[in-house]
Amino acid sequence: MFAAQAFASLFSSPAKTSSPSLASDHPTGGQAAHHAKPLFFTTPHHLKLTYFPIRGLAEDIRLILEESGIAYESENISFHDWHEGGIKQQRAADNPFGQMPILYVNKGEFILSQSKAIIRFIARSTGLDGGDAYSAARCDQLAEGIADLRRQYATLAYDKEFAAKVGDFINKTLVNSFTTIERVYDQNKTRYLLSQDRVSYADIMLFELVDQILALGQDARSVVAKFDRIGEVYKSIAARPRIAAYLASSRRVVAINGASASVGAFKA
Amino acid sequence: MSGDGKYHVHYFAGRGLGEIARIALSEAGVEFEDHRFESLPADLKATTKFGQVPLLVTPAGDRINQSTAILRFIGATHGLSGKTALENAEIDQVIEGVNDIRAKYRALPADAANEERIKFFSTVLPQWLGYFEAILKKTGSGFYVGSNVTIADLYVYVSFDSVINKTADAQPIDAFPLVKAHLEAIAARPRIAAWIAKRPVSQW
Repeated sequence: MFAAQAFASLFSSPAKTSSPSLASDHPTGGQAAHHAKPLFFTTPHHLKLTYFPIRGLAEDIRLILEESGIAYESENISFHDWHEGGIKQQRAADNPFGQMPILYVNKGEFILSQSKAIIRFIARSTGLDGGDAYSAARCDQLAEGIADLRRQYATLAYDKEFAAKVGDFINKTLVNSFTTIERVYDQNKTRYLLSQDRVSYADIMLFELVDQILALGQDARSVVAKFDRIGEVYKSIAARPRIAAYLASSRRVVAINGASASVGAFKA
Repeated sequence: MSGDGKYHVHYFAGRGLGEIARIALSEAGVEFEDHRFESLPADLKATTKFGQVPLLVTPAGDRINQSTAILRFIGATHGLSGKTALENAEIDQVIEGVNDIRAKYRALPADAANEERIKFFSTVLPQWLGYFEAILKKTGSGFYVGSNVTIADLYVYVSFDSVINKTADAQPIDAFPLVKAHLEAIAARPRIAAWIAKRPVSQW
């Protein structure tokens, strides 16, 4: 289903130059080679994001689209329809690894799955990755650290022994990871990862993860409150006009996790 | 930050999460210093953003952590990324798919008789190898994205090399001829073959 050819005219092809090394023929060490320009969303496209009716692995994507002011259609598929209603089989050709979320561009001219691949695709296309190889590497580095913590959070959320393990998660895993993330922001001097006012996709991922962690309860809220820089990122992103409007809208779904989770569970 | 004009890879004395940086730099034809250690040196632990390795130090002195962040950086600066935004998205899709199967593998108990472990090799891994076989069938180029080698191919190679060749009971690869041929083709690329021939031998 990958119809990259149909979009070929939208992009220059920087890597098709005669030099095998992009670094060697660019005055800034190949930083700009990161992007195929013009940016994807400078021309109008129809976007549809397909996922379960929860925040889960799709919320970072929704937030990045909202912050970028990009219109998109949300297709929320119920757990029953996906697992037992045949939708998973119907969509098998749309996603190589049998999973959602799935992003459909222009009604299927280009289809992409894997949440972090979708996040980076939109971030690159809108400049939320900083727009050059060094800025993108700094975003990727923080985003991978955030994703590591989110993976541990999700494992905990669906763990049958959630009640016995949540304390260790908050007091050890969360404290350790946030100490590291706080240090990244401390070293930066700016509010967000790349600048004082320009938000990056990694900052937005941090916002959503903090929001999901706050839902763990008072103990988690007390830990989060100890990290000033993380708290500042969280509060300032929540107050950004497009994000604030989204959070107050019905587009923001309530449930964080699937029905079997011990926190933020989907209720039919 | 000032660098010494060379790339440096800092990682434990094994392949693990560090090997993808070494393989990508090798394929890029870039010289690098390969710093290996048995335990994390105190100065690295103190100065590294996530207190973690692998760590890539660029010729200009920039320091990048997280194996896939390093991989994307090398790809973007040395012509191993996609040719278009859409190709880069497909590369990321493959990388994240690899990360999913790596995470499943890492979560397995070590006990060879463990039920989860047996199920992984008998059911889960073949299912996922089928996914990768289908991608290669679709591209028809012998590469996972487009018609040239990209960081996606290198990441699949390094990851599958460690998962599939790890245990004697893991031989499902023969049922997936395109995946198998791809792994062999990547290992046979001249710069990668030269790196494999000269790298220190390690258990993992």
